[in-house]
Amino acid sequence: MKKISILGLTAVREGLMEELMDLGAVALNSQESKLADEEWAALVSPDGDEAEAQRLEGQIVKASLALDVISKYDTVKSPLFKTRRMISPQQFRQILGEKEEIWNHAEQILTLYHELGQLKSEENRVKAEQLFLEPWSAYEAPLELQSTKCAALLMGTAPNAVEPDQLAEELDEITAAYEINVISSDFEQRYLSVLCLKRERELVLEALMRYGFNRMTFKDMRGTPAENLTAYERQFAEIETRRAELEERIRDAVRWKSEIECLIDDLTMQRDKVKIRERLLKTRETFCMDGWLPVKKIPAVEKLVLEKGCCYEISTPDNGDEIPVLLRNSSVAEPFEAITKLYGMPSDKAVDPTPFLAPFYCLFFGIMLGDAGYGIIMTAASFFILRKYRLEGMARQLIKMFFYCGISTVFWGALFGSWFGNIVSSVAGVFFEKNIAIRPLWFDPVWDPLKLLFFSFLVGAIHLMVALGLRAYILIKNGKPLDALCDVGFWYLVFGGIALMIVPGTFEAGKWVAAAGAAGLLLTGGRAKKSIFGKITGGLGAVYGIVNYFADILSYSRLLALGLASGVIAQVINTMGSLAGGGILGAVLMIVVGVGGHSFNLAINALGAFVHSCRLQYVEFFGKFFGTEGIAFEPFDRKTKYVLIHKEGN
Amino acid sequence: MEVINLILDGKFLAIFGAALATLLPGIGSARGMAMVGEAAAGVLAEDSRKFGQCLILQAIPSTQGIYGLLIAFLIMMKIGMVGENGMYELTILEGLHLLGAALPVAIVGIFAGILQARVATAGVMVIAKKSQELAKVLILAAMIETYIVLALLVSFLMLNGISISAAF
Repeated sequence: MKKISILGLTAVREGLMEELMDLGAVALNSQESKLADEEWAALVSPDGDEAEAQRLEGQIVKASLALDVISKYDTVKSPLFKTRRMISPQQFRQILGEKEEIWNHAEQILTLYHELGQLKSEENRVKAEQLFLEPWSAYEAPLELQSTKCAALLMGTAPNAVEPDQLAEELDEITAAYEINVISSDFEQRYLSVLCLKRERELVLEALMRYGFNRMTFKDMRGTPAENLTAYERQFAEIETRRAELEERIRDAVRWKSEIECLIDDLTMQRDKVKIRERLLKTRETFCMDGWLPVKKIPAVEKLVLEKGCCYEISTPDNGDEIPVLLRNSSVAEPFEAITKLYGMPSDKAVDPTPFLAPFYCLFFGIMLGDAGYGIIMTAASFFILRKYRLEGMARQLIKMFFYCGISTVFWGALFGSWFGNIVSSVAGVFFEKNIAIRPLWFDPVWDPLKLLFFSFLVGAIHLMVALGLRAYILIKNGKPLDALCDVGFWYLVFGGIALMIVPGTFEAGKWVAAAGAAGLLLTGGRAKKSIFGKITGGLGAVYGIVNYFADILSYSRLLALGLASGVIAQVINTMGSLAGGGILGAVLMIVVGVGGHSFNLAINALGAFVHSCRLQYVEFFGKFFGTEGIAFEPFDRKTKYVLIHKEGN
Repeated sequence: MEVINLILDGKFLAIFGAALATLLPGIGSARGMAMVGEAAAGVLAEDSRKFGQCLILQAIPSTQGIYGLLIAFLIMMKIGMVGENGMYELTILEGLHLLGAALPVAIVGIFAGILQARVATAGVMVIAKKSQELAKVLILAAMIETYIVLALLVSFLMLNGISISAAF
């Protein structure tokens, strides 16, 4: 990584930024610290156009909404993996030549969507009125008729608990001139119309209300309920036609989907271009910026900057600088960057752990899944996905990683003699009454679990030693060889000694080597402390650290446990599948239980193997040397979502 | 007295062990998956595209039940319940040994399932806001898994070390 500063005339700024974006090689720094400096602040002012950025942002939101709307009506099934479409710059420019038109379409879609929403609320309103009027459908007078010259009509509801006879008795006491009609009833109340004399209306109403009568009025409604209800039906039909029409038009607009996607990507790039200017400083006629670029990209950037007639300076970073980090690995180790990135970025002063964790990750995954049949499925599936979909970024890395892990799983499965558990001997035994089994190339962990347990501990010890080695390397790289000797060298002596003690014949020598290491730890563990007391406790603490190492090594027993789990469960599935014996029925059961059971087992155990391999890397391995102080290198480039504009020439 | 004699029977104790190894971790897993599932349903109501990630988180506390099943199955194989030979005669001591071997996975299983689900449920809340953080959340939940893995291992090694006299 090198530092770069560029100074140029405002006239070439647009062009330079456009091409820097194409190149995607430079990460620009924020200029806040410079602006805080009075000397700088007197000379320059920050560039940038916040209003424009916000305008573009608003347009992006609108266009994305339009895209969401048509996506709902898109009948083409979306693929399993989302990939960016490849598109040439000419095509892209051609599509965006009709930007106005695409924009109109997007707005049209939003209008249609809005109308659809209005239609929905209109429908709800009519529905509510329909529900309101439904009980009155048998009522034959027009609703607006509330009274004649002498008579008055009262309409309303009364609870079911009140019998109409009771009401009649009550009204009998007031007047003889009345008539109660029950129009309809539901499980709660009756719908009544009461005819009475106009002058007695208040009295009647009062009497009725004592019995829970609830008067209803039909404001703004004309005609009989039946007429109104037919009108509602007609309205529903109209709404339905209108909706079908709107939906048809939206469905018709689906064909603009790819154009709208291009539009969104174009707007996003425009916005990024406006936003990045916040990281530029300007005077009246010039602009300047600074940032980072990887060494590999220097020639391309130099050429571009000179072409535009700008001044530039490329310098080696100072000690205090926080250098952004870009991971670079060989194509085999590169997929495992995903595991590193999930944890965090290494500091610029540390080391990229990816090439070191890659072989161990594969190994752990293979032992934990530990079945050749599952491995073949995983390898084939990830190979197929990589061929069919042009994945990018983290998704591609993960799938590629599963490809390698699948191969490792086949390898370890073959060593353990597990092919879908013991499917060969199950099938041979049940259907052909023969005794065939695939012999393990090494040993079957179910019959000799202790062997695999010790092997797991050995693998774990090597893993931890590599981690310690990396710690020493980082310490030496940062000019602290003494720390490397005290914190790592002595541990190597201790563990080397213990290893010698285990190997037969060298017990005595091993004892002394381990003791020397422990003595070294005891004497130097508290070297940073000032007081004598601190030095003693520091030394004791360092030696006590051996407990942590044993705990770490025990943690690798999960290799055995998970390996056994997937193998034994596969055997259980095969046993269940062969319960019906031979014959057609047996074969059907075997296939159904086998396919279902093994898919389930593979899914659960692959998830387990993934998570636990990660854990061993993150907790046991990274814990020894790795910090996530690093900042990822994020170059200024085309961050498109839907299309990938492949640059001229490749 | 008679009841005690019936219970202190080798075969019964072994079967009881297998039953416990299935029951307790099974309860732990079922309870745990329900907890995560409920939280996940809440997230899906907002954004159904997060289904895949939520499903993975829900699957996390399922392992306890599977490990329990595994030990139960191994006990059943050991005492001849699976296979043509029929069940072996077991001494009381052998039955007690098998029961004891089932206990680590049985008891850790019920707690680990529920506790792991608590972390996974919190993880679902993280997914609701930041769906790219799935891996980190998975690791957090998997830290608890360590102890059920260790219990499984101990149960397995114990079973491996117990020999049944009638099987020879």
